[in-house]
This record gives sequence, C-alpha cells and structure tokens, in this order.
Amino acid sequence: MAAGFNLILAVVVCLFLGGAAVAAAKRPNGAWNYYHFDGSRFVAGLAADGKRAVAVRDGVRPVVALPGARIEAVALPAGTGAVAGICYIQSAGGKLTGGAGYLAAPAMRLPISSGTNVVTTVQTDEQGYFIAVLPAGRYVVGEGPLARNVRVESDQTSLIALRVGKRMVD
Amino acid sequence: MTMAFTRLAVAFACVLGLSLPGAAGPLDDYYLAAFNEQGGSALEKAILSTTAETAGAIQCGTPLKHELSRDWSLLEPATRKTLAKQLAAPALTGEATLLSSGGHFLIHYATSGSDVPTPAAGYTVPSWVQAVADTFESVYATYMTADGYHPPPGTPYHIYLRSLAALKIYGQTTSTSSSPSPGFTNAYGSYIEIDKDFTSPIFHPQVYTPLQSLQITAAHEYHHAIQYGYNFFFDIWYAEATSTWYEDEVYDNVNQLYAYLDAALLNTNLSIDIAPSITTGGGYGRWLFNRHLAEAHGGQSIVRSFWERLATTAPAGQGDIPMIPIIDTLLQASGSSLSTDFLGYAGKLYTGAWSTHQPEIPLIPAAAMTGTFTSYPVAGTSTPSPSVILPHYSFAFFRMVPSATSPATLTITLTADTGISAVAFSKTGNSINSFTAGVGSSQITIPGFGATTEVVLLLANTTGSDNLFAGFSSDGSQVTRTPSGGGGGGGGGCFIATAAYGSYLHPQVRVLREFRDHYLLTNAPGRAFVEFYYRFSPPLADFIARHETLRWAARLILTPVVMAVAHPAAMAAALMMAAGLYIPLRRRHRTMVQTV
Repeated sequence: MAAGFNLILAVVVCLFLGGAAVAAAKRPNGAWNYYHFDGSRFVAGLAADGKRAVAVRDGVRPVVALPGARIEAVALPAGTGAVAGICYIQSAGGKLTGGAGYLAAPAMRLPISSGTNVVTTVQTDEQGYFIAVLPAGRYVVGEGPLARNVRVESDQTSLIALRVGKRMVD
Repeated sequence: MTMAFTRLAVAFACVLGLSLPGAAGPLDDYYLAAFNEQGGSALEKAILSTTAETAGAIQCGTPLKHELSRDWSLLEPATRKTLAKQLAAPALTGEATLLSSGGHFLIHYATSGSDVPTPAAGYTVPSWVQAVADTFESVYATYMTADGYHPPPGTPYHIYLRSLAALKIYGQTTSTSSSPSPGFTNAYGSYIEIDKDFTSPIFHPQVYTPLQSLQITAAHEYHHAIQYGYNFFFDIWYAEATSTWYEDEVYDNVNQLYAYLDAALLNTNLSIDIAPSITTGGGYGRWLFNRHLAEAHGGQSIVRSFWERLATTAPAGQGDIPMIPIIDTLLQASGSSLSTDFLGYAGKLYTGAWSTHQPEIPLIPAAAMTGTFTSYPVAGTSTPSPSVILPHYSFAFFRMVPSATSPATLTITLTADTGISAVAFSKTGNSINSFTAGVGSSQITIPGFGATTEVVLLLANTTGSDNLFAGFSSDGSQVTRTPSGGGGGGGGGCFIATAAYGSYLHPQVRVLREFRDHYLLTNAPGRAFVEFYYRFSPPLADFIARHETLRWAARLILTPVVMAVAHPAAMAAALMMAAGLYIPLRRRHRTMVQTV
C-alpha cells in the first residue's frame, strides 16, 4: 500500500517537474536574450568566463552587460532598430606560447553609413563594444575593406562582430 | 552703391575662402610633423621642414598621443587616416625615437619604466637602439633590394621596443589602417613591437645572442609588415611559414628556426595549412616547405610570386584568402603542381636530398614513423595497423626492417583512395633508392629487401580532399578501411585524444589506439562504439584543439581512462578502495537520517 502511494507520489512529482521545465523553456516576450562573443562571432548565451555579453530584447535598446548585472529596459523609438557589436583585432601565432585569440579595439571611432552618407559615428567602449540606434534600413558599419553590411529592422537588434585588425604574435 | 557693395562682398568672400584652409591647416600640420608623417613633395618638405629629424633626436610621444586623441575630431579626414596608426600604437613612458640611417625606420624606446632596454654587456642603450635600427635597415635591404619585395605602407616604419619577455613574445606585428595603392587594393599599414633587449632567459641568450634574436625577429616581423602591405587578408599559416623561412634566408647563421621542425615532423599526418601552433608544428614548422619550393623552382622568387598574386586577389567576404589554391596555380604555371611539390617535399624529409643550406641538413629532425614492422608478412591484422587516414596535403611514413621472417623481395600491395601517392625508399648504408608502382599497378616491388638497412614507405595525400584512406600489405592481401572509417592502429583516429595531447604519436594516445585495435574493433559492440565515436568526435576534437583550456580539461578527463586502459588492475583496486570508503559513509548517513 505504502509502495503504491510512493509510486504515485513519484509520478506526480515527475509530472510537476516536467511541466515546470516546459513552462520555463517558453521564454516570455519580456525576457532578455544574451549573446557573447567567442572570438569570431556572437553565440547565444552568457560567456562561461564571465565576460560581457549583449542583452537583446524586442523593441528595447540592447545593453552590453556583465553576467548578473541589473539591466534597465529603454524602449527603441518607433521605426528604429539597433545594431550592436564588438570591434576586435584577431590575434594569431605564438612562437613560445599560444598567441591565438583576439583583442578588443577600445575607443575606436566607427562610421555607420547609408549609401555614401555617414549616418552616425559611434565609439567603442573599453571592451570594444558599440551600440547604435538607427532607422530601419541597410547600413555599412566601418570603413575600408573590413567594413560590414548590416540590415537594421524595426524593434530588432542586429549583432555584428567586426574584425578591424590582425596581429601576428611571435 | 550696389556695385561697390557687391565688390566688397566678393572680396570678403575671397578672403574668407582663402583663410579657411589656413585655419584648418596648422593643427593638421602640427600633428603630421610631430609624428613625422608630413606628406607632400620633396620640395614642399624641404620648404616646410624647419627641424629635420636627426638620429638620436628625442621626442616625448605619450602626451602627444593624448593631445592627438583630444583634437581628433578637428582634423581633416586625410590627416586622420594618416595618423590613425598613432592612436593604435603603444605608448612608451618617456618615449624617445631614433631614425635609422636609411630613413626607413623610426625606433621608439622608453627612457623610464619597465620598457627601458637593459641591453646585454657590450651595449649601452643608445648603441643597442642603434643596433636595432641598423638591423632593420639590413633586413630592408635584403627584402627590397635583393629580393624585390614591395615595401609596406608608411615611411618611416614604426618599431617599438617593449618588455615582451613576460608575455613570452619575441615580437608582434599589428595592422593599423587601410592604405591602398595601385596594385595593392587591400594593403594595410602596420607597426612592429619587439622585445626591448632579448636578454631574458626565455630567449635562450646562452644559445642565441641578443643580437641574433634581434636579427631573426626583425627578419620575421618585417616580412609580416610586407604581408600586410600586399594584402591584409593573407592566410595566417603561410604568413608564419614565410616569415620563419626568411629568418634563415636573411640570417643564415642563427638557425633557431630548426627548433620548430620537431613538432611539424611529429605530426606529418596533419594538413600543411593547419593553424600556427608550436604544439602541432602548424605555421612555423611549415617553413621547410618553402625551402623545398625555392630549391625546386630557382630560388626565393617563387615564394615572392605567391605574395604578389595574393596582392591582386580579392577576398570572398571579410575572411582571409586561402593560400593553397594560389600556390597550386602558380606552381602549375611553372610546370609543376602543389601535388608534385608536396610529394617531393615529403620525400626529401626522408632522403635528406636538400640542395641548399647543406651544412644545416643534420639540424632537420627525422620525420616520425607512423609504424615500424619487423615481422612478416605485414597484413591487415598486423600491429601496428599498416594503414592511415590522411587529411588534405598530409603524409605518413612506415618503416619495414628486414628480419628472419622477411621476404627476399618485398612486394608492397597498396589499397588506397584516389589522391594518395606512394613512394618506397630502400636504404642500404648511406644509399637510398626510390620505387613507385608502375602505371596502372598497385604494387611496389623492392628487390633485395634482406640486404637493405630498411625500406620506408611514404603515403601522401597530395590533394585538397580530406580523410583519404591508404593501406598496404606485404603478402598481396587488401588492407581495407575499417567499418569505422578509421585506419587502424597506425593511422588516424582517437581524434579527441590527439587534440588533447597534441600528437597522435603521444604515448597516451598510443595506449588508447592500441586499446581500440585490440579490444574494441575485435567485437561488434566495440566496433559500433568506435563508428559512433568517429562520426561525431572530429568537430569536437577540432574545437578542443583550438582552446588550450579545453585541451587541458580533456587531458584531465582522459587521464583515468588512459590509466584504466594501461593499468586495469591498479585502476580496479583504486575503484574498490573508493567504494570501500563510500559505502560505510553512506550507511552512516542513513543511520543518522533514521535517528533524526
């Protein structure tokens, strides 16, 4: 009798936990999504090493934040979207020790153009990150051969990892 | 009245128009002159220049860079473009500069703080900085005058002396900004940082004098500067292979580059274009391929031609441009091909038939043997397995040593995918003869095997295709690919372990490989596991190989596995001891819970 009760209890607990897991997996619209830079591109989730990540949410200005930081939502103006990203210098080589990786490009002035017009110029922060809020449209981020095309959509954030240099470490 | 007013307005407009450039100019001129970047013709320079820089002139650069940063938005676009590299460049405390005798280099060094040079005995700081300047001028003369390279953007080129020993760095070259010119659309400027004096023990000053370390670093890094000037999107492995090769072309007596061959020749089963790594031999250890090409194609110009072709090649997107197709195209234009030259290079590693730098041939280590056989026949059941899986442009050697059971004539029967090339080398004393299969044949016959010292079989993937199989036997049987696609004991496989330990010849990897061959591939469940593992592990192994932390973690995880395989009894005893400790603790815990 007691064994049967325990079995039913176990089944109920399992069903409850399963239901809770399914409910938790459905991210509500108001939740932030995090993306971190892995050395060549942005990937979903927080970085394992505790480095900064870009918090993204529909209709809201993206935020570059450390894991666990309290984030305040600031609505994007109507008809605008955002482009967020990192400017980095690729690092390769290493005669005595591994030199592969990347360096952030801080305090870098980054022109954002539409056609031949520079729409705005943003400056990267001390970790190489930048954010620009722009009217929906197509833009070129950066200049010269390393510039990247990006499409900005209303209420959305486009992420971009911009290689701005290369370092050969020996 | 109206006429007079109009004339006055025109005159005012003219004065205003003429004065505006003058108002914009002084700040630009100030910074351009301060950073020695004054443009214009030689005549303009002669007229405008009031204080020509002389050797030994001292400037304090750090405050100037701060001012430049502050005034950036006030400068003309062209000035900003020219001076962008100054903002990116390192700041030295109490910075002083020395212009090299030829005017091609500006050497930046610190006069206080941790970056101040403390040169070896026999040098003062000024004489060491002068030696740096003279060395770079010498390197410049070799590259530009003797070898015909195109100089990198920016004259003078900026060299910074920094304390890099703590970072375990000889030198580094970093791109600055786009600097296109006719024929060099994707040219970038750059600057070089080298260690301040090369006296740290990490540079082995007892083996290589600080001057020698300076020389090879200057030759190495300045070729990177040239590479940025040809095309920013260069392929990194070949950049390191070329820069390293040039160390010996410019300074033949130093010979430090031979140290990078150990890892390369231990890992010949890895593709020639793998990422630079001193663990795998990628990049740096591939310099010897350039020596082969120079010997086979009339000198260094063949290598320069690759870089010249790269200069006119556009990248697909923002990624780097693969060098292998460029090398193949130009070798074919010279009547060869990358396939032919790669096989020739691999063969030289065994025969030692180098035609240049001959006194240094003993410095080239012997290539690792994937398997050695002393009992015959060699067949699919032999240990190690006489087969291998090879990625693109890679190779493996197998050694066969005559013994009591060896045949008088060794007939090697090949079973290989298209794209595998095979050459057998028969060595007797110091004499080496090579043998290949006849046209349409899959057999290589080596007469008089018993009288030889050894026969070495070279199997090379001379194509851009990955995972080509090659097997062989000495009894005419077919050695086929295992169900897993692995090549057996001697071949590839154990991808994660290879990534973790850095070489498939590492003793720990060998233990796992032997376990696979003897215990897993001999039964159906084991083969199923191996097949599953080989299907899913290569991408994971590739990821692990590129992250030192993951390699360390993988080694940590694999250690008990290797221990269990190598010492099963000891591992079982250890597990029993752990269980013996755990069970009483568990019982005690239950007792306590029941009591509560």
